[in-house]
Amino acid sequence: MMSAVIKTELRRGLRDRALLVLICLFAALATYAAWSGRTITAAHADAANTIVQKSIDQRAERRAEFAEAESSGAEPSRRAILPYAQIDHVAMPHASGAAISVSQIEAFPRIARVTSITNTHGIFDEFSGSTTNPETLAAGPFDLAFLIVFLLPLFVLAGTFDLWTSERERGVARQLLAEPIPSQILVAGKIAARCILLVLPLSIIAAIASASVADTGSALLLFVYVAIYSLFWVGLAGLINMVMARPTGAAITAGAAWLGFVLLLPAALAACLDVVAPNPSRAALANASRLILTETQAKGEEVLEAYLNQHPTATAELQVVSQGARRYYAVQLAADRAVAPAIEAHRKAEDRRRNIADQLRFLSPAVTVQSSLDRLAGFDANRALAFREQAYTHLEAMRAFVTPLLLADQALTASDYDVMPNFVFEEPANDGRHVLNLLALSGLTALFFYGVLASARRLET
Amino acid sequence: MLDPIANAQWRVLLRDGRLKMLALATLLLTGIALAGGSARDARLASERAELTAEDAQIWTAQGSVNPHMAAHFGRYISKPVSPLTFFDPGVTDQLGTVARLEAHIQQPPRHRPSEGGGALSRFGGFSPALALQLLAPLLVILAGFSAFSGDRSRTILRQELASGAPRRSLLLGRYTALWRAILVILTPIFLVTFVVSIQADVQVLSASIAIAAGYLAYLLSWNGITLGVSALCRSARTSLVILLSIWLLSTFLVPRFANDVAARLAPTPTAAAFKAEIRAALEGGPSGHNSSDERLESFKQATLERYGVERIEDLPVSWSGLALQEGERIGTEIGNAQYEKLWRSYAQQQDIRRYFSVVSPLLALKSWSSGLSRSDASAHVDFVRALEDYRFSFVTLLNEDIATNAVGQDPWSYKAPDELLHSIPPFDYTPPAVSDSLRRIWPDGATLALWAALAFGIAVFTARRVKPL
Repeated sequence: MMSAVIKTELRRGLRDRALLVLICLFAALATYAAWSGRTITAAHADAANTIVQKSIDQRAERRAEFAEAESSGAEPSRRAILPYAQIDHVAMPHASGAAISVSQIEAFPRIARVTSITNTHGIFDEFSGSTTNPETLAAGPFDLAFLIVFLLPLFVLAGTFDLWTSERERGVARQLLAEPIPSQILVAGKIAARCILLVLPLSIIAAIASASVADTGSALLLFVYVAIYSLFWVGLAGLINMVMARPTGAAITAGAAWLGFVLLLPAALAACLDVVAPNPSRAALANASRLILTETQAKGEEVLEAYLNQHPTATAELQVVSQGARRYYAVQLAADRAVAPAIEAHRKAEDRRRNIADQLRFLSPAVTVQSSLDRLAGFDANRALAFREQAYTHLEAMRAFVTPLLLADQALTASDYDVMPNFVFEEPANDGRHVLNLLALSGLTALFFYGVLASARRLET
Repeated sequence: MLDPIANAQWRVLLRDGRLKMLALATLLLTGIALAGGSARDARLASERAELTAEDAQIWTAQGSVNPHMAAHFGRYISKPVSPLTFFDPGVTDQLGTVARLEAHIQQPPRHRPSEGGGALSRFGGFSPALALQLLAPLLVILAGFSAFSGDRSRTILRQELASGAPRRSLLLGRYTALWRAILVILTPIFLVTFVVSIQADVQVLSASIAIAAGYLAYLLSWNGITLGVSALCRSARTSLVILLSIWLLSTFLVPRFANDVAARLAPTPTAAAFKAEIRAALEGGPSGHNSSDERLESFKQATLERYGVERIEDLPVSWSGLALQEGERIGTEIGNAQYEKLWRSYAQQQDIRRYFSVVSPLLALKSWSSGLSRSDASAHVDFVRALEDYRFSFVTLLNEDIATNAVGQDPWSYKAPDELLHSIPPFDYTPPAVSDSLRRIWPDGATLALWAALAFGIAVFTARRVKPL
């Protein structure tokens, strides 16, 4: 019985030119969005790669300088032998699905400047400013995430807003309900046909567009998200159709639902977040850090003495490094230790805000999908924080490498360059976010469908 | 004739429960946004005042210090909160709030509020301005989409025409009724804005009056469009679908697309590429740290000639101090050239967006509203330019101290007395006057006025041809 309804609805739907127009328009926008995302990520990746490559080249050049010095009997330059000479620029590589969602590309630092004698707090400072026009950042990019999160619902609603109300308006509803078909089957068949005609093509198009700029796994996952998110809106349209009497009312209600779910509810959640857990001031932290550094510098000699007392094997007669460099290093380490509690408190406040935001995402399907697409693109907080921790770990490794040389007043040698720590970004462990997001979306969608079918039963009575 | 029609239409609007609910919801949301914006701005203003005081304390806490080391230690300048950002925060969330000013290099302000956020940050930024930009036109559409088309299907239009009412009066009556609805929305919001503005200064008050005029023109455009489409369509449903499509395109799709196109036609470098470019350019010139740098040779000769001596040892000033300042001058010129290139691309992008305001009045309104609220990119550029002038002036004062007082000494071991750091004047920023902003954004104001006039013209044109059935 159901298949007969679906077949009839499919035949009707295939004659509807508007559906074809919607699908073609979506395909054109998806192509543009994928291309747009790819060009933005490519520009950022190129710039970061150039900077990182410069550090790698610098190591190679200095290694070559030693080889040349060995063959000619000359002394290598001072910049090559100083233990703290190496400046590493390390960057977080783009994930394979980066082009899918690029709005958060500048939300976290992706390049760090690691020198063993810099203070920990400052390693992300050099590239922390943005040069992108703030108007462009505020408007947001026209990427696949924008198309899916903001526009896809409109495509779905445009194809489903009069699912049942049009039958009512044409006066066919009563006749249909008089047929020996349960009204739930009738409504479910109509919905299933729209899903085949609209949700399936839109999901396939979005997946193909993402596959052109991302790996197959990401494209498949994106297909699942688009399908479930579309079904959510179909369910909502179904529910509206059960309640509203006329297509005009259904259109207004569907528009209001889109405005509410996609724009107003997330904006309200963001505003609530600002009230409940305001962003801790990074400028205040920077000032605290500077004050501590100034005070530690003022006690430079004292700090150096304490440092050397902790390392009694340190060479007293200096030929390679200067006492000034040792003092500078000791001051940075002491300042790092002194500012650690302030950094810890700041991070706790940031984590609290992030955790609340993470929970709030379940209240809006649009935010849930955006969060999933950010994760697919690798521009989520989890990955950025993993990079931050790994950059700090690299700094610690560089310090562990430099400290014995600095204490022993030893010059770097060619072999030191071979064993110097290298930075390799490791992807963070899977925290099951996709499973949670899919469950939340599916649950809400199932609830709407249940509502539609329950309302449909009342149509019969 | 006009008043009875307008009054009748106004009564129809007042009787519509859905409209009343929507108007109340819009006012409530805007009110919440106003209260939230004011509270946020007050918190930010107090936080930044605190940061400024802290910076002054940290700066002088260096005590007796080498002036150039102090220049490298730098200062952190907090961006002041503009008095009207509570109404229209514009691009504030995307702007750095603190700038580090140090010797040799100009850096973009850092710590953008939008940094470090999650998926939710893509949806943030709800403000009174946004409510008026997005929700108020919807209200106008819902109040007016059936003004002609609905009355036609209900045969009211036929009765009105049969009673001898001229078509122009029918239109003006409906236009006036909708205009009253617009005033109901705008009046309380702008009264609050004016009251807050009066507490600031006359400049802010005049800016908020100009902003109100912009919103009025914008909503009158929607008034005209709505009545024009309603007069054109045979059914209320068709006019609603057309008007909602126009709203969606004009307020949502075109602005996003315009920004994307502008960013492609006048691209800006990424922060990493920009920084690398500046670093490379700076490496081509002397920093002044090495006073024996061969690239300072011509400056050295000119200096010797100016003082009428043959050796730098005979100079009455410290050559190292002069070399540092010359390096600073060259570095600043290089940095300024790069930044001016960046600002030019911002301005080009703004020009490109203006072309799109032909199809989306919202783009003109955004520029007008955020321009007068001093929360747009241009206001930020003006602030960054002032910062750079200050950076150069305080580094110059520090280098000049070395030049004057470190004669015959090692410039790096020379320490200036505590008073030097106290004598550096604080950063004092005066934002551009409203007249300056108006000179820059007048095309947007003109576009809004044209839109309002054109939309009215469309409504008059279509209403003249309106048929009773």
